[in-house]
Amino acid sequence: MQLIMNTHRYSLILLAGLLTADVAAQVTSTPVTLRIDPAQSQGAPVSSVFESVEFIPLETNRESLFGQIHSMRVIKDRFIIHDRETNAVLIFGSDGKFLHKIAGSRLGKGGTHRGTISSFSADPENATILLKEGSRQFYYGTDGKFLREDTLGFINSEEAPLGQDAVARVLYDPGPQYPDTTCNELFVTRGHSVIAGYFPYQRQSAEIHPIDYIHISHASFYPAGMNGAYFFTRPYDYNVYRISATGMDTAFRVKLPLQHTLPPGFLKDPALKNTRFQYLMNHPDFVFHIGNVYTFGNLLFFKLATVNGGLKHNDSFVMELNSGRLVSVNQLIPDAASHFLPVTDDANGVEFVNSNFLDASEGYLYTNYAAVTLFGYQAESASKQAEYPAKLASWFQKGNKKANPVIIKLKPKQQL
Amino acid sequence: MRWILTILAIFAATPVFAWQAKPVPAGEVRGTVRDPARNFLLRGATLAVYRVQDSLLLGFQLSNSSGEFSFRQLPSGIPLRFVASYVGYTDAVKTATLPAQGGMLDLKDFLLESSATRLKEFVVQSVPPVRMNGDTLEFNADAFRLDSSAVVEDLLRKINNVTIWGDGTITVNGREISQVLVNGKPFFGGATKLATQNLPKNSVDKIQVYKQQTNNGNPYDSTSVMNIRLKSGRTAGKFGKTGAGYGTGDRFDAEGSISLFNPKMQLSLAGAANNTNRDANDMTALLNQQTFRSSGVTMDMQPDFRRKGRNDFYGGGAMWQYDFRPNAGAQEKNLLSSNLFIRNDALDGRSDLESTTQLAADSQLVQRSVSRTFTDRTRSTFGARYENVLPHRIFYLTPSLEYNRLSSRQENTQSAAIRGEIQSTGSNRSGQEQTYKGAGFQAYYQNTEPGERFRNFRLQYDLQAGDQQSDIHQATIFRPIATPGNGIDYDRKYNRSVRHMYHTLTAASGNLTIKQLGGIQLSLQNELGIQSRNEDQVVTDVRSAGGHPVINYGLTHRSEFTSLNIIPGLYMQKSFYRKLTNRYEHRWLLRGGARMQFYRQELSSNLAFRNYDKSYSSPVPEATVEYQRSEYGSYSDWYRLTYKKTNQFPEPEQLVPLADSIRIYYFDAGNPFLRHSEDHAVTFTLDKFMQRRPNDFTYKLAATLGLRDRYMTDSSLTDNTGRTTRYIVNANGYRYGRLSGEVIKPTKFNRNLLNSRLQSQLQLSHIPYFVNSIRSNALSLSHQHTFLLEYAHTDRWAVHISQSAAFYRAKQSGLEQTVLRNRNFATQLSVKANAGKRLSFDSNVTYNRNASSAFEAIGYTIWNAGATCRFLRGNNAEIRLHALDLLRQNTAVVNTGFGNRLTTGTENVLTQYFMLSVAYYPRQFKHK
Repeated sequence: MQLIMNTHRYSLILLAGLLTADVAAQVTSTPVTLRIDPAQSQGAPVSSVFESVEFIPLETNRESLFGQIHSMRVIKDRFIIHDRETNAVLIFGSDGKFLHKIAGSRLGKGGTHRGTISSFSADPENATILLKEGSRQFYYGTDGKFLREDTLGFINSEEAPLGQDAVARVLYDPGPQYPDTTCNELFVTRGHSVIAGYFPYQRQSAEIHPIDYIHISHASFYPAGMNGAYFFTRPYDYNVYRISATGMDTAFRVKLPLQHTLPPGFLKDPALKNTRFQYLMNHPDFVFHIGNVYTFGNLLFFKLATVNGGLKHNDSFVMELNSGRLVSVNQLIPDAASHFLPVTDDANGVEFVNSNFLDASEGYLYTNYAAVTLFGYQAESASKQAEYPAKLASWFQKGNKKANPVIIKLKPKQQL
Repeated sequence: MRWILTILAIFAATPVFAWQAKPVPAGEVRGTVRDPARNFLLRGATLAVYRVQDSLLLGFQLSNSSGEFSFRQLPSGIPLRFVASYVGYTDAVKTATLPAQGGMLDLKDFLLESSATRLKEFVVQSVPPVRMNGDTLEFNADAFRLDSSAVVEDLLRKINNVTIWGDGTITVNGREISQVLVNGKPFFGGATKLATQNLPKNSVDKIQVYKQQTNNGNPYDSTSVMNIRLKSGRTAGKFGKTGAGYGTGDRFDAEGSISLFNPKMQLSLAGAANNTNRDANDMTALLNQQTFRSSGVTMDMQPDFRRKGRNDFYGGGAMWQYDFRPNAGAQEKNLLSSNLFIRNDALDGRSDLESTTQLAADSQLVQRSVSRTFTDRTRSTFGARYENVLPHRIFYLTPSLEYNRLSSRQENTQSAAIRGEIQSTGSNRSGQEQTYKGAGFQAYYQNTEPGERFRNFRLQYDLQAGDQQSDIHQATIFRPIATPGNGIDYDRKYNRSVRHMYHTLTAASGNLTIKQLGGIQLSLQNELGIQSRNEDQVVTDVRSAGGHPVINYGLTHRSEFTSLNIIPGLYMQKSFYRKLTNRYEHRWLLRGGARMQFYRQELSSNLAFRNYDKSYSSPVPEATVEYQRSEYGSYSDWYRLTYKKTNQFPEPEQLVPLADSIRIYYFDAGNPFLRHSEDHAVTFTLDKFMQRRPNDFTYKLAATLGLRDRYMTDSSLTDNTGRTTRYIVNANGYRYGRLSGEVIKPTKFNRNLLNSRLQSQLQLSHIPYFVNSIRSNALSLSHQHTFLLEYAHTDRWAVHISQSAAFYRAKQSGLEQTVLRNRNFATQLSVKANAGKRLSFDSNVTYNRNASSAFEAIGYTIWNAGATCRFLRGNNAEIRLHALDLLRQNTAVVNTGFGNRLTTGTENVLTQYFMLSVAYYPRQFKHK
């Protein structure tokens, strides 16, 4: 599992912090309580969870070759992919055809600015891509055309456009070097104004030091299916929140078995100051974060994050909400629906472990794994004599193990 | 040669006949491992297949990403038992028989039940042969059924991924194991064989193989480590050997050892005495010769038939280690160890050598020397080491003591001939008594604590001090044929005392990253060396007339030599990195060292002509370019290109030697104007590791090109009596090139093992020198090649074949293209056959052929054979009959060359003998 320790040290005084007192909002909720016991999860054939499975190899040529999908958004018929290794955002069509590349070395008008793309977000409503580089942000269309450049209005570690020009932002950055103000871990902006804030903390004296703020990679916001709404999750909090331009509520309240539940004093115990990561390493069964939350009809997909292999190969689930039936996504059994190929690389790869599902859009879930992994799975399933779609069969014949990763597009059922 | 080929053909054909006599069609068995309660496919489950009749393990593997497995090449027509196991589950067992005609059998699902849902008394767990535990590959010893006397090495031979080479090297998937640990700690000094050939397989819980990074900044700079984890009740034990043999020609061979270990302490006592050319330089070597090993073909127990003379060896010592933190992690150590070793050698050597030196195109100096040497030498060493290693700190201290005594007598007669006519004769008798007392000390500290401003701080101090006392008596007679009246008679005694002390201090700072310079890392290093050597020599001549000793004031002297060597350096380093996940990882490293060497040497002597004080300063830069490429799942390469300049400074014996007239045929005159030489060397190395399959090959390549300015070479003047006066002079034009390579390919198929290894070395040098004031150049080419093929079939047969060839060719460009050459070939075949568990036969044949431009080709064969019978419970006793040099052909041919000189001849060596030996191996491994 890829972990990120938020150790940002910004010297800027955040606008968000100054305005917090005025806009702090209450979380309103009528949450659904979910009792989840990973030990009761079942395996299931792929076809019992997904209506369809499509393997989409991304085109590989000199310009489109990239390393690893750090984050991906799907906007209509495009895959927008951020690759840190080549410092680029790449745009592929829904069939995997390479369309455009926005290189970090050629940003802005005329491609004159050279920098490192730190993150990107996408606004499906306006079909725009926002790239961050240092203190600047660059706007591009999904056709790869540069739109405009702006200075960074807010500092945040992650953001999600909520529609109506509202943007949800998350930042947890306390430290003794800051003035003793109250900040919000989650805040919503419109233009240059903060319009709402949630989860306040004292910036100078917060009990949880940034080094103890451990969360899974680029995973705070997940599209909630409704236009502009996102699920939001945070470390050490077993609630799943839903945020939109109009407010936030608690969508799900997760209850875990005792052996997976953090002890009551975990957030307050001074003995754990700056050592919470090591504590979690020593107690690998404790779930410290719930992430990758997506809903499709009556199905809820989510991940229970542990450190040091506590729930290894059984940490990603789909729950049928009306029956409480729990299926382990890690343990899905390849069948004809997936051409007898695994739909994740959980068995021997790193992509699903690190990134889980990359995005959800218009009734589909997306994940990926390496070309070499897919070739390996094809060899392993050779005795099944699966019939592959023409494009995939051709790729197996002509492709090579060093090709770009393969997107797996999954259409979940409404019920198990 | 023909009969060797015949034997080869017989051995090569034997296994084929065996297979053809009872052909067994092979078949395939498939299946899937599943948890039916949760409908999970169990990926990475261990599948093992056994023969039902005797529970012999035929194969094992892990299930794939779909929980499936497939065994190929299984024997048909006999019942087989398949066991599926997975951590946290009870085993599932199925028995099946492949159809007699082979084919494929699908065993469908192996349904495993979670052990948490079953009552303990009903759980019957088998031990899976292999599993991945994180990044560690683990082999469970109990899963492999072996004879009760089997040792760890026998277990390793059963594991597909592991190859044990004839020289004791272990490779796992082609990568050499750099270190074998026992319960995470070095076992009796870290010698691999002591652990693998002594520890019983039944004491082993697991064999663990993992990578250990040796350089935190470089992911490829890692070594493979094997850890033998002992069962909890078997962490203490004792083992050893006591044995003796007696043979024809008064040959004897006796040895004994006892080693005790527990989690905190290890202690070994060992001794050996023989006159069969089997010796040891330290305790580890001695203990290596006395392991319990029970199978395999090895040559290291053989006497050294190439060694000169008759040698009596007596040696023994003790080794001790105490672990202050026996339960520390793999990266931590707190050990105190010591080692005492005493050896005595007595040599009776005879040689008849002829060296041919090309003086001119039509003129060769041929010197013949017939000599006999008696040497009695005792060497005693004691060393201790305290080592404290923490994750980011290393500290150790190593004090040592040494006491040596040497007593020798030598007689030889010499003659020199030019153009085939003898010009002079001479004889020499000498006796020497020498003692040496020395002490050493080394201290080392390294800090690699991350986050500190200067990382990798390193400090090392070395001290060596010694006192050597010698009494030498030498009598020489020289008779020129043409002018007998000019004959010389010397009878000279030397009393010499030499005291020396060397201090070396090396300090290096860690890397300091300069962001303003693009992330270049800087580090500083300084080497400081101080040397002092006091020499006091009294030389007396015994005149033949009166017999009273007279002091020789030309050779009697007192001198003090001191030197100071300082090499400060500034190193710059920059690394680049390019990676595409799951595709490749490329890493470049540029490193340069701007270094300067300041060297001063001073000699003060009561002989005025020897006094000098010289200072040198010269840059000694070095640079390295490294490129590492790892292609995911395919191979990894490591290329290195280095340039290094080094200085060679003339020694006092080259500048102002004591010209001793007793050295009649070679008289060293020295050269006080000799300048230092500078060597420039460029070296390229390539290491390649294949990552695809255990049977893939790996190879290494190294090439060096060098140029030496002001090379210190010989300028020799030979007079008409064949006597040579040698000066050392500077000459440009010394160039050299070296090329070496190695290809390794282990192959395992069914129950057969075939290992092959090719090693080649080539050296080309262009050496300037002067003969009778005429400049000449020797262009010499030497190359050696060794090909080794090792074959083993189950535990029954093992055959090793090796072919080595060495060539030397020197062309004298200044002497009208005169060519000197020699060639040495050796073909060796070794066979070991086990007839049951207690009786084994071994034999090896080596055919040697030496040819030279100076003599007709000589060929001879050494054939050894032996039979060994093990008896008593646990095969602890052994009786062995062996016959050495059955054909009585061993001839030690000397055939070497350097520059314009070729030396050929013979020496007395070990010849035919038969020996009967008995041995007992006390062994006890118990709970502690």
